[in-house]
Amino acid sequence: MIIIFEPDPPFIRWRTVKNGRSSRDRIIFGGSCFDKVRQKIAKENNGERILFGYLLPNGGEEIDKPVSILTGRSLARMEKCVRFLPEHNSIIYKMAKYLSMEFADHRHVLFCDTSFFICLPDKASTYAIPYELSKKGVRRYGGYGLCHERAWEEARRVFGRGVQKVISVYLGNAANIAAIKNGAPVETTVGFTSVEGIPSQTACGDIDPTIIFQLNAEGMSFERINDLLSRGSGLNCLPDQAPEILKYHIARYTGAFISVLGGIDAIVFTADNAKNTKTLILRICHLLDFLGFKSRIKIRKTDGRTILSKGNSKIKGLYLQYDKWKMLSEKAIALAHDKET
Amino acid sequence: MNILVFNCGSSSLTYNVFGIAASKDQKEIISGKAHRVGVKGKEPSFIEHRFQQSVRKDVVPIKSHDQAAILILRHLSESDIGIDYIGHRFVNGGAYFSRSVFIDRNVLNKLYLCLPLAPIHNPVTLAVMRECSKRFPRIKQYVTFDTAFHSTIPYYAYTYALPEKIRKRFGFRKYGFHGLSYSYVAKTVPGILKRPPEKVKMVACHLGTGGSSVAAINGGISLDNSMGYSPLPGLMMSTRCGDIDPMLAIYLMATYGYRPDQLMDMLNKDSGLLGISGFSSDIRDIIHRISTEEEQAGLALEMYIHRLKKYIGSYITILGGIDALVFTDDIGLRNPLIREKVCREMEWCGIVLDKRLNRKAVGNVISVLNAKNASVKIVSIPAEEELAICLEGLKLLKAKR
Repeated sequence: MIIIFEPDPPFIRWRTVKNGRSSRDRIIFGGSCFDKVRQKIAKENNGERILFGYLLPNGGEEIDKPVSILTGRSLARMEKCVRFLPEHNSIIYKMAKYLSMEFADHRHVLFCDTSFFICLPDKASTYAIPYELSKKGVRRYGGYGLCHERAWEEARRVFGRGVQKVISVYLGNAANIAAIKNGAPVETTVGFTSVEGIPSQTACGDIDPTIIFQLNAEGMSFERINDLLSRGSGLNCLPDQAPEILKYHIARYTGAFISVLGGIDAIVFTADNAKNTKTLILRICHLLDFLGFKSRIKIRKTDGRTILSKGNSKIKGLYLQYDKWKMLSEKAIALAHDKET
Repeated sequence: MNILVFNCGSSSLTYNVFGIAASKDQKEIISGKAHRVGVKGKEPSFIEHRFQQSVRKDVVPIKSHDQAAILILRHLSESDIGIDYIGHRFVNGGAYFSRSVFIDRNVLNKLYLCLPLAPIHNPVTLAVMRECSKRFPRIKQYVTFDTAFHSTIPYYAYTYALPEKIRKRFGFRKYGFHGLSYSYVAKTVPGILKRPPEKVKMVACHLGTGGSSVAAINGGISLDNSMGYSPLPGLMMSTRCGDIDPMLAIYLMATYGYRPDQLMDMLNKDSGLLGISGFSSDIRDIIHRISTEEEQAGLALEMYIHRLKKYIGSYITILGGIDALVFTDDIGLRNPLIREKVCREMEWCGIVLDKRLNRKAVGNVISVLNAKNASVKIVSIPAEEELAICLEGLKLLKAKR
């Protein structure tokens, strides 16, 4: 049995895979939730060894591996990076700490969504604010590293080793983009928090920071502004204009990243839902026509992967169906298996 | 009739006196610039006056823009140059102003409301205006706005993803800046390319000693600009932070106990090149120190270039390729190293610099810097904001009659 946890304030969500069947659950995070989660797991489990997974959204400068066995030392490191994304990180940290003690005989794996970006070049990760603050850890951490790493691996698998400069676009609730050169990250749209970058359904994305001070000067507290920018804004506020605005943000970041990569060999789109994103993906590909992107008229489908470019296209295009839970389970099993053999 | 034009940069004050003949041709009589106004750095501040082919340079401490204005006005009366009108550039007129106006009490009140929209520029411009009316209460003054050229930016580029109620109530949207400079570039570059203006797609970089931005211009029309609601976001500037995670502001206050006004000041006045290098807000100082032991000088320059490259690539892509890459204003014109670094590895979109032409280019004339067979023309062009401010004044006077 595999159980993978993910914070989703105010909830903690999890997915259970048992005998090839998967189910999901969530509970409001708080004092009484630990016992309830333990009881639910105990009821489900019939004595077999459980593989637990915990997805940490921001590992700061502490967690440098995307997938690792959870140990006492990594728990201590997790605690240290709670401050980078307090709401999310504290939920998953507390649950990992509790369950790894309650189920000490079982296996526990830590996933970290920023580890891929730990070697982001300084020129991309540093904010142009007084340097002392950067040294205190105020920098861009990136996000969705597990997804972008997979995009890079798939692009190489499908198009070969000639592919070196890759732009990976994740189209989900919170769209974000990474620039990757020879397997290493060069840029990301995600900053210190995931509010920076492309607007999500409920977060504002890039805005002029002057706005925050003006709202405060007009009497809005910073707690309320915090809530407004991360949960009360975003594409949901722009019902009619959302598709154009989302496309524009993706286009301008794609161009920015081509520029810092010094060109582009492949663009990879990863999405949970092909139907909702198809039009958007085709429009983004079309924007790259001037650089030699040739779209395939008939889309060739192979097992969760779709090649979007013609064979003679200078820039390659790939669509990947994303099942985060499936990917995480596979990675957890592979790691646990490695450690045991 | 003589028009005195004042142009407040964040760390400079430029002035020009234009003589307007009956034929309505404007001729520059005297001009000058106060440099390093209120700048923290090694080198001293100074004023240059250019009059009939001669240049006079006064090295003198200049702590503020109004002090610079006093020095300039004094120099004009000593040189016996009479003034009939004074024109100013006001960086952000927000939703209050969509075009140039003569200044009266009502306008002044509205300008006062615009102060927070450009916290570095607007207050110093207002201080210079006050100094002018104190010294010359009878001379009429007018004001032009840097936001006007960007009124064509489409909604998908200017809309912030905030609730409509809040956007409407406060006028939160991208306005864009350096409009006077870009409108001059947009008019001039097509002639250099020998192509009709409506067929020219360009990315223009206005790189000043204080503020800098990039604009996407298609057929003379602005499609985007790297600055925003205020001149704070976008490129890394001398003391401004440029793009940051908006949540950082909240995090820094909660974690380190900054007061809002302290933090606002830090992002505007202690960040950018000064914040990273730790010793200067001037990219020229930083370039001088790169080869020495200063590790952060290297990072500051790398960040400056990286962010510029991002905006250039971004706008090239939304334009679907470009015909010209334009560099203007002091840093854009007089720093071959910056142009060389920005144009490195840009063959993907047809940008190839001729390094020899680039190094040879002089700052006060238009130069074409691209390699012979490159598809994109690279142009460096002196900024003519003051001329644009003078022409706005003539338009106002004509409308009055």
